[in-house]
Amino acid sequence: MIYPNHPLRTQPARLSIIENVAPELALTAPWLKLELKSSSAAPSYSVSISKSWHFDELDAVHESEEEHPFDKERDSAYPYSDTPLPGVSMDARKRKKKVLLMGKSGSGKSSMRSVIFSNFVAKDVRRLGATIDVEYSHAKFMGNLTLNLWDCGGQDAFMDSYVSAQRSNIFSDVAVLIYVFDIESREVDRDLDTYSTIIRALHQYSPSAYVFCLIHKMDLIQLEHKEHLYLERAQLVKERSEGFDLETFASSIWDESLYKAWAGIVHKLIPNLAVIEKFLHAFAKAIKAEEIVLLERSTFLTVTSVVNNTKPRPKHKAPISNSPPSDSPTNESTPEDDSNPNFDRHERISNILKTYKHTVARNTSNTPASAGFVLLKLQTAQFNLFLARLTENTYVFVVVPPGEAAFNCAVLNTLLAREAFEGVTNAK
Amino acid sequence: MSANLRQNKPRLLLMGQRRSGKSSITSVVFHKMPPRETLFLESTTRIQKDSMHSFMDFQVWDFPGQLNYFDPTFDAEEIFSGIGALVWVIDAQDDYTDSVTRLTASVANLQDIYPNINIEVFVHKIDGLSDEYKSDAFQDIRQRIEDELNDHGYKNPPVSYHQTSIYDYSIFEAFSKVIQKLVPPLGTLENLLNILVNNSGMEKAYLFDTMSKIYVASDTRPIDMEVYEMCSDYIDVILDISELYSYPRSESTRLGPQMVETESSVTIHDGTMIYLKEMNKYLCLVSVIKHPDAKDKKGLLDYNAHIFQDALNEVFARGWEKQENSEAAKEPAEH
Repeated sequence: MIYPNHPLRTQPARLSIIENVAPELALTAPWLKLELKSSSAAPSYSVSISKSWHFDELDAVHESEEEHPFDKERDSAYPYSDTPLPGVSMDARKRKKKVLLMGKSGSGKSSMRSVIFSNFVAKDVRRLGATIDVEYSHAKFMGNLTLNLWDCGGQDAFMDSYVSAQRSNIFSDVAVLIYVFDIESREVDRDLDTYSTIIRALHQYSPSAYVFCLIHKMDLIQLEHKEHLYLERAQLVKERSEGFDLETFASSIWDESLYKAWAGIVHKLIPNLAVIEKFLHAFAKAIKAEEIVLLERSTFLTVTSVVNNTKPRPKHKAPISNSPPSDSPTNESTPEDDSNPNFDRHERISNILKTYKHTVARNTSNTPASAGFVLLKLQTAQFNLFLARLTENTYVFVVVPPGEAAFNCAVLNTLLAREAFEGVTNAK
Repeated sequence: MSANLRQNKPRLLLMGQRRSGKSSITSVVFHKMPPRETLFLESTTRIQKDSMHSFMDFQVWDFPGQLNYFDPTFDAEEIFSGIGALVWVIDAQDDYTDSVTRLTASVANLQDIYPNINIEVFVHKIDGLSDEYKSDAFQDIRQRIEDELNDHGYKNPPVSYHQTSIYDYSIFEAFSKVIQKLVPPLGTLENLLNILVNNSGMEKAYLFDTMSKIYVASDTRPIDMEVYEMCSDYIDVILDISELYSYPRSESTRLGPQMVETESSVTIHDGTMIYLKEMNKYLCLVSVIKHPDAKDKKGLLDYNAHIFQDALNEVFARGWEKQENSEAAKEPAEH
């Protein structure tokens, strides 16, 4: 089978570029070779993944679900679409979303990827070296969504090759581009020029992609300047975005803002979100819960949340309140529905739970990936809450009003609802 | 404040050379500041009094280096009467000769007037030293202080030494040790905890001061740093989550009766259960249970913890009768 945009094809060119970049790279030559080997294995990656693909609890729902806007458009743009691989259904491939992670060298792309997906704690990221070319990784969400994360090294030579030799390979079939800006960068104009180039390439190959811009390393800015520096930079980025559907976030790996940004990104990608929200909503009513939050298992990112007796409050609305109100028509977030004044609570919960998971892992001599909670219960005079596993890949976080008996019922019902959750979604 | 109460509620003074880390310690331990943010703390230029009203009264007095507070212009009586312990912070990464000299002078002065004050030496910022150098520095400081005190003719002064750092649990551990010396009914508490632990299949139980994460007492089994870390971090988890959801509700819906005290438990992947129960306004019980039946016998656990709570509050009620009474009057209003 011949792949027109085969990564192998571009390899000789890449090698020569790498040799030109920096002499110190020669020192890491064995590693470099490994790196290339892994990307030379890339042509078979879709096949190997399709083998390991198993249909678990939420898969079957997908077919009947209203598609995400870019799903349809993408089929036509998908380069391999007329040569389907044996044993790979279209659905399986559709659910794999290609996510490009780009930005200037040293802006913190690999750091944030490691913190979110590889269970690094923030101070561990100092150990990370520079990313050479593209590092591929997968993150599985909710069973039926796999993120194909392309972490693209940001040195100028790589950037040039992305928009020239590897242009179609990199930019075709992109579901999401995450572009990272370093708030401390001294060459703002140059950063923006590079960004424009990337955006133009994306526009050519994947015009329906979502673009998320993270203004990163916000922890380095003094508190009183944070807001206006961020708004100013976000405005500059917007002007260069050529009409893409753009969201900007201020982020830092040192606090919960990173979880906010990534929860916003993931929220856009979950295919059968409406069904899940509907189910959670009905469930919240049934157990008289104040609020239900669905969290991803390993990252603790908020998938979605519902507040009882109101319409579902989509997670991605919260970040928008961060940007200037003029360009956010969806800014009618629901303060009157949502009585809790802590609007950042979901990302803070993610942060709290993940931090504690690390503590647990450290102290039970386990890897963070294998550590986890079976059941967490908290009863106070004002509220009761618990966290329990819902499906293989999710935790459910439920807040109910005080009342011991009702609380214990809610816990039991949730454990029973695991099957129902699978049942409801599978029936469709 | 009556003299009686003062004796029962120990106060702490925190002293040391400038830039030795006193303000950082108070910020981290008593104000929950993340350790790395202490870099931005301004240096303290005047005597600064910082008081904490928690399980105990903490008063932190920050003395600029050039002041001699045994000078007649300072009211030594006011400063030192009624304190339980003097915590002296020494920067292990800096030249500590001056600090040691000043410390020994202070100890000498104090020993004459107030022989009951415990002197606690924190060899601080120990995290910056390499492992082999750590114990060398610690031993060296200890040796110097003891030699100088010996030269002044003080045999076996009540001085103890701790290695501390704000970047790990050692500072909490050290404070716990300091406080435990000042808790009058420590033996009783340990006894109560032992009874609880033996009857509930617990691995280890701590009685924490909720605000500062200092533990007031634990059962007498050996302390396991791993368990301690999980327990003390769990308090943070509970406090942080509680903060997010304890906002005042417009219409309070209750689904049934419930106890007013906070109670929480988490079962982690290997089946270990961490159990937390609020004891009173200041204290909470945190324990680790590895017994496989623990999950099924939650009711029994709750009951045992409740009995322990009653006993504990009785112990403290006896010591602080006045204090407890005035708080008991306030308590219903707050809940």
